[in-house]
Amino acid sequence: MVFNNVLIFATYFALIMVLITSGWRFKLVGLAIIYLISFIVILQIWPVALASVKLIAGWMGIILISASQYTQGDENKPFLTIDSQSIFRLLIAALVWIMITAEASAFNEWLPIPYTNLYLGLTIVGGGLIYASVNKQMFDVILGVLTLLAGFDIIYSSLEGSALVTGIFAIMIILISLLNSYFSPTSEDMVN
Amino acid sequence: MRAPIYFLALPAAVSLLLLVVHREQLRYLLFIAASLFFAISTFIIRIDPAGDTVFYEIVMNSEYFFLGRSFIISEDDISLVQIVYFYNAIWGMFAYFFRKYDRIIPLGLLFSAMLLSAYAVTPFLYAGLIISLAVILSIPLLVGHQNKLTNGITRYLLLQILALPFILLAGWFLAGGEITPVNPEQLVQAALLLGLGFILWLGVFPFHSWVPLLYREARTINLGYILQLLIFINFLIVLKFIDGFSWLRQYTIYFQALLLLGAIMEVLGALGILFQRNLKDINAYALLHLIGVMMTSLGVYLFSEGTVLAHTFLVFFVSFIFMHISLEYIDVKDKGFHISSLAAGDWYLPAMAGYVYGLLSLAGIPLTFGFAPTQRIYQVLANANQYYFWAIFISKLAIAITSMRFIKRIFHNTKDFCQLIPKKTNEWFFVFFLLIVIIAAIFQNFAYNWFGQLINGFGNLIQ
Repeated sequence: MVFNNVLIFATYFALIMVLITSGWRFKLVGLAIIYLISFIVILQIWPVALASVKLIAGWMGIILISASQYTQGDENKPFLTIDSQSIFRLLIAALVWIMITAEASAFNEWLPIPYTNLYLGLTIVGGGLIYASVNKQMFDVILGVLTLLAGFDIIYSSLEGSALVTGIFAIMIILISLLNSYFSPTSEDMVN
Repeated sequence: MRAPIYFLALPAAVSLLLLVVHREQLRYLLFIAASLFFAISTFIIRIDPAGDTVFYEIVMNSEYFFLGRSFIISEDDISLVQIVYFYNAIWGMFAYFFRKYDRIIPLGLLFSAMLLSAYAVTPFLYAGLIISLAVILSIPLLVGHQNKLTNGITRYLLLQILALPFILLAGWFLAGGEITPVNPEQLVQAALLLGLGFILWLGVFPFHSWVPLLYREARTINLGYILQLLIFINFLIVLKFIDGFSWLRQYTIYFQALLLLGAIMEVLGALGILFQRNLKDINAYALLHLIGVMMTSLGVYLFSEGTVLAHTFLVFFVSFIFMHISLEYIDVKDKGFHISSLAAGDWYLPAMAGYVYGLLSLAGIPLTFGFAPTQRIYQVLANANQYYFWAIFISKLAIAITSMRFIKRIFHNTKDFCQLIPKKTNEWFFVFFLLIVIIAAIFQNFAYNWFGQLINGFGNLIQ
């Protein structure tokens, strides 16, 4: 029970990092924590080898994104900048999370998986969807999509344990991360 | 030899091998040759034949197991394979004339093979995963890395990936329904999930906003190639879902929803075609209209025969190809895409004729491929639901008005109709292609029968 609550609060913390922190580094740390949480949750259902595929694929994706974001140079950005945009994101996320808290038990009636898994999954899906929807930049949308997929992965892994789905999901995460590299300006572009 | 290896794995391997060919012209030619090879070879391949075969026929097995899942390409799917690879060859030929930093050659074969794999995979739910991979692959094919506008592409990525959870959950529900009887509540939930997934996949109202945005960001010839194949295969997967589950076929609300959304899409698309002033935007709304036409054809399935849908696929192919390829011919003359900038009258006339022919086919004008399926839909809807009938009739009228407006503009501004005579190779090729399609549309049986075979595999649906 206590462990589940710790996981839920850690998820909120990670999602808030993704949603409202300023630099790409903090956002990616938030996403890395989400992958770690999802690994811990899936570990309760799946064997370590299969669950670790998700963690490794997720972190590999984060490394790929970091490598392509490196040229952006936002080292001096503060951890948090309180502006109207971040307040809006936080409020809308809070609204969605309240709705999820209210409706998760109803969802649980037709998705027979452990309540914590469903709740965490829906919370992460909601956070990712909000982040991807309110941003226009490719990096932000990719971050949102990866967050959304991480949340859905928790729900789907609890429903069905398929090695092939896990493998394809891992490839998908890496390909989406590579898309960020594709759209990132090169150092030559930055000079021009 | 197994058919899935030959038609799915081999083209994908060829596509990747072509990446190492540095000479651009050779790469394009090899792409066209490979596409034609896979398309033409279907004529001598027999899959799981029941009786004896002729000496020149090659016998193949329909099923291939990969990591515990099976990929099935049966004799009924041969026409689909033919259409996809002939389509690649035609698109490759036009792309050859306008080649510039084009990644579709050679990765288009890999994209096509992925989409065919999504259609061939069993159980269905893996189709969602493969489609998502194909969508991710399509993004570098659509836009260059230096593209400043990414609103459309980000929405395309988000909405297509968002469909995946719905399709996977619906697949899980449906798999459960195959084992134990489905109760009405589960039925609604599964149908809702499936419907949401398909709506997101197909860019149906209100999730259509990425379509016009994407048309402003990507090169038309690439966009036409990707979206046509993607939406075509997505529709076939929808058909496969419906064909595979008897309770879904008997669930009338599902078809009513398809009809309603189809009518909305047709009206939305037609209004866009009528009021937009940029040819790229008109193409975007034409796509929305065509999605609506295909949904309507599926929606009237309960009152009609399945061939209507197969014939609307033909309209989709013909209209879409002309409306997209024509823009490349107009573009090379540095005229841009706004109608007012085309007013000078010195555009390439056969290309404009091809564009208008695409619109006329869309409007269901006689002597085009659109005529027969449109009349059939009118006939069915006039008896079944007058509201839908009038909505669709008015939408077709709007497209016909737009076509007439184009024709008037062409006649007013063209001083020398000798322009119709082609001069360069690429112009000869376009005119030849246009003439073949016009003649084929007049003697329609061959093309209708060809596309009619697309639904042969859906035995339950066409009963």
